[in-house]
Amino acid sequence: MNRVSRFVVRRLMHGVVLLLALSFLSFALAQWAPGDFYSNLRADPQVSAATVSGLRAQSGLTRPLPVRYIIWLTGLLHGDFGYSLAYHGPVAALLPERIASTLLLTATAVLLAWGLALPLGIWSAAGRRGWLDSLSTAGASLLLAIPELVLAIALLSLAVETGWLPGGGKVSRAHDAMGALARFGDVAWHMVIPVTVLVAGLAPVLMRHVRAALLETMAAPFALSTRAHGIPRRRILFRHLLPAALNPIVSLFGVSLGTLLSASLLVEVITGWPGLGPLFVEAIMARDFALVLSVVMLSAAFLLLGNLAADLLLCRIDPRIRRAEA
Amino acid sequence: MTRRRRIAIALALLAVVHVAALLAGFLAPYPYAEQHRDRPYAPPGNGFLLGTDAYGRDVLSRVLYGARISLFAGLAATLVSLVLGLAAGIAAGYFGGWCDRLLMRGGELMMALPWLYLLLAVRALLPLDISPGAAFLLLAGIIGAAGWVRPARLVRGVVLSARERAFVQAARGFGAGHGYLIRRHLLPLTTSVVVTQATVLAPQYILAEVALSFLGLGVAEPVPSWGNMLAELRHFGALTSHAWMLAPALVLVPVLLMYLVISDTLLDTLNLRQGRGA
Amino acid sequence: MDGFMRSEPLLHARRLSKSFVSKSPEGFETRRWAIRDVTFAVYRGTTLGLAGVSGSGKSTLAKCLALLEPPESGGVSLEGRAPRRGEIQLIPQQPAASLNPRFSALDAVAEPLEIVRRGDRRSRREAAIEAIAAVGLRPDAGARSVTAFSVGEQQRLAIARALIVEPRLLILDESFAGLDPDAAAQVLALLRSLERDRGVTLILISHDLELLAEVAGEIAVLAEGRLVEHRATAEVMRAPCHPETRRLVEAHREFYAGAGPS
Repeated sequence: MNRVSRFVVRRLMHGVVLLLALSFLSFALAQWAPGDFYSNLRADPQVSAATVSGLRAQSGLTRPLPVRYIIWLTGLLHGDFGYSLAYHGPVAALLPERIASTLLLTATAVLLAWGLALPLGIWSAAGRRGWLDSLSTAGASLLLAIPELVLAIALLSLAVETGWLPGGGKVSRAHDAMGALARFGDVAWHMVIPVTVLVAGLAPVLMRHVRAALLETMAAPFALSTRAHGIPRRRILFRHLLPAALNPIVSLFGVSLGTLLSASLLVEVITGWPGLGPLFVEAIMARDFALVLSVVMLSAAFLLLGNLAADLLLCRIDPRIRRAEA
Repeated sequence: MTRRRRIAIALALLAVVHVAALLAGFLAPYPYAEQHRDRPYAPPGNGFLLGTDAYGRDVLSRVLYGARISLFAGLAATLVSLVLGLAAGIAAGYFGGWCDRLLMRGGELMMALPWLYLLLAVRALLPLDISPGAAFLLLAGIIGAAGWVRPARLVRGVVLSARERAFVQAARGFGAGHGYLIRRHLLPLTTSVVVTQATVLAPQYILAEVALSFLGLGVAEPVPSWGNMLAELRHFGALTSHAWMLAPALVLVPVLLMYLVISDTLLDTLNLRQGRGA
Repeated sequence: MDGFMRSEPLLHARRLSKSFVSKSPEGFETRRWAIRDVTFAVYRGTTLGLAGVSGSGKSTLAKCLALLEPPESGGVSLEGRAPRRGEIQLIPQQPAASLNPRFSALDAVAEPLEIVRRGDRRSRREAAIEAIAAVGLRPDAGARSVTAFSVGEQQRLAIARALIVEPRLLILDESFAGLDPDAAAQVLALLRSLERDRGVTLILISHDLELLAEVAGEIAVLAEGRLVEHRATAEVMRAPCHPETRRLVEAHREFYAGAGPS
C-alpha cells in the first residue's frame, strides 16, 4: 500500500469511528428527548391513551435502548434509514433527491466562490496599493456583514416583484413537460438566487483568507530572498509563493465547508430549494426522529468526506505532509 | 485612521445600539404586542416611525425590543462559550493526559456537524413549546455550549506553550501549586485570545439566534426577536411593497459590520505585535 | 582559611549520581551519566566555584543540589539533615527568562512569598523593596515592569527574588552569560558583598575560570560528570592537578593572553 492509500485508509477509519460515536450519541440523546411523533396525538383529548401507546408499540418505539440502537445501526448500514412517521414512508426514499439537490447547490457555490476568491485574493495580495484594492476589501467586508438570511429574502422579494427570476423552488410547474436541455436550464434558472446568496456569503471569507495566507508567505524569509535574487514578480508569485501558501488555503476548504452547509440550510429553507435543509427543519417540527437522525448522520458524513477530500488534496500538493505520512 | 480610533468608534456605535436595546422599555413608543388592526402594514409616518407590520404593531418598538433578545442572547451565548472554552482549554492544556484527550475528542465529535445542523439537532431534543423567557436562556445556553470548541483549542495552545516557560518553572520551583500557576501566570496570557474570540463569536451567535428564531425554533410570538420579525418576510410579496419590514436587517448589518471591524483590527494588532506582516 | 578551625560543613553532597536515558531513532536506548559519584562539602559563608565545560554536568548537579530533580543515588544534607524546601535556592541560566514579563519588579521579587502566602500584601511588598535594595537596585523603580530593566539588572532581580526567602545556600548557574563587562562587574560586586556582609553561602557555576577566581574561595572542577579537582582557588590557578583543570586554566590564559593585566 503506498503512502497515499495508507493515509486515506487511516483518515477513513478515523472518520468511521467518529461517525459511529456520533451515531450512538445522537441515538441515545434522541431517545431521552421529551415527546415523540405521537406527543401531539396524545394532547388530543379525543384520542385515548391506549390508542397512542398502541401506535407507539406498532412503530417499535417501546423496545429498550441498546436493542433499538443496534437495530437502527444495522439498518443504516444496509441502507435502511428507518421509517419517517411524518412522510409515511421509508426515510431512505426521501433522501437521494434531497442529497442531490443540496450537493448540486453547494458544489456549484463552492466552485464559483473559489473561482472568484482565489484570483481576487491573489490579485489583492499581489498589488497591494491602489484604490481598487481598498474598494474590493471594503466590498468584501460589507458583503461579509450581510447575513445570507437577509440577502436571500431581499433577492427573492426582488425576484417576485420583477419576475426576472423564479420566486423559489427548484423547478417550474411545466418542468416535466420540457425537453432535457430545457429542464437543465430550468433548474439552473432556479439556482441563480440560492447560489448567488451562498457565493456572496462564502467568497468574501475565502478571499480574505487567501489574501492573508499569501501576505504571510510573502513576509517569509525565503520569499524575501527570491526577490533579492531578482526573479520577476509574477514568477515569484506563481511558482514560489502560491505553492507555499497552498497549505492554509486548501485547509480552508475543509473549514469553510461546515459554514457553507449551515448557510445552505437557511438558503434552502428560504428559497424553497428541496435539499436537506428544509427536510431537517420539517423533521424537527414534526418530531420525526428517524428523519432527524438520518439527516444528522448525513450532514456529518458530508462534512467528513469534504474534509477528507481536502486532506487528500493537501497530501498530494504538500510534500512535507507526504513525507510525514510515510 | 489609527487602529485605536477605529476600535473606539466601532465600540461606541455598538454601545449605542446595545444601550438603546437595554432601554427599549423607555425608548419604544409602543408596547411590542400592541396591535392596531386598523392600520396593518402602515408605511412610516403618522406616529409609526418605521411603519407597522401585518397586525398593525409598531415596527420601531419591535425592533428595539427585538434587539434586546437578539443582541443579548448573542452576548450571553458568547459568555457561555468563553467560560466553557477557557475551562476546557486550561484543563486540557495544563493537565494534559486523558483530560486533554477526552476534551479534544469530544470537541472533534461536536465539530463533526455543521454548526447550524448541530444547533438544530440539539434544539430538536428540547420541547418545542417554551415560554419566551425560557427560550432566551435556552438559546443562549445551547448556542454557547455548541461553540466552546474553537476557543478551547486556542486557549489550550496558549497554555501548552506557556506551561513550559521559564517563569512558570521558576514559580513551580518556589512551590507554586496548580491553582496559583493557572491564576497568576497562565490565565493572564489567555486574555488576548479570549478577547479576540469574543469579537469573532458574538456576531456569529447573534446570527445564530436570528436564524433559530427565523425558523420558528427560537423566541416565539408575540415577543419580537429580529429573527421572527424577519420570518414575517417569508411571504415574499411583503418586502417590496412594505420595505420597512426589513428594518431589523438594517440594524443587524451595521452591528455585524462593527463587530467585524473590531475583530479585524484586533487581529491586525495581534499579528503586528507578534512581528508578522499585516 | 585555616582548615583546622573549620566547623561542620553547611552543605554536604554525597555520591550524587544521575543519568539520562535517550532513545535513538532506531529504538536503541543509551544511558548517559550526567553526574557520577559527586561528593563535596561547602562551608558556611564561603563561595564555591564549580567549573567545567558545557556538558560536564554542572546544571544537572545544580538541579540535584537545589532538590529540583531527584538524584538516582546519593544525597544532599544541609547541616547534617535533609534540606527543607526553599533552603537551597537555584538561580537558573538566563534568569531574565525566569521572570514573568508582565510582572512588575516588586511582584516578581515578592513572588516566592506570595506563593507560600507568607505575610500580607504590605509586608511582602516591604520585603521585596528591601531585597531589591540589597542587590543594589533602586527600590522606587520597583513598580516598573520587569522588562524595563536591563539584562544585568534582571539578573540581580532574580537574585533578589531568591534572597527574599532567606535561603541557607544560593546556587547561581552561569550567571554571567550574556552580560556586558559593566553588568558583570556589578553582579560580581553584589556577590562579593553578599558573602562578606550578609554571610550568604554561594555556589557559582561557570565555564569561565577567571570569573570564578574573582569571587570563589574554592574551585571544584567537573569533567564528564565526575568531580576531578576541589581545592583552594589560588592553588588551582597556580598549579592545576587534573588535566581537565589544566585545560581550563590554559584555555583561559590563552584567551586572555593578549589582553594584558586584567
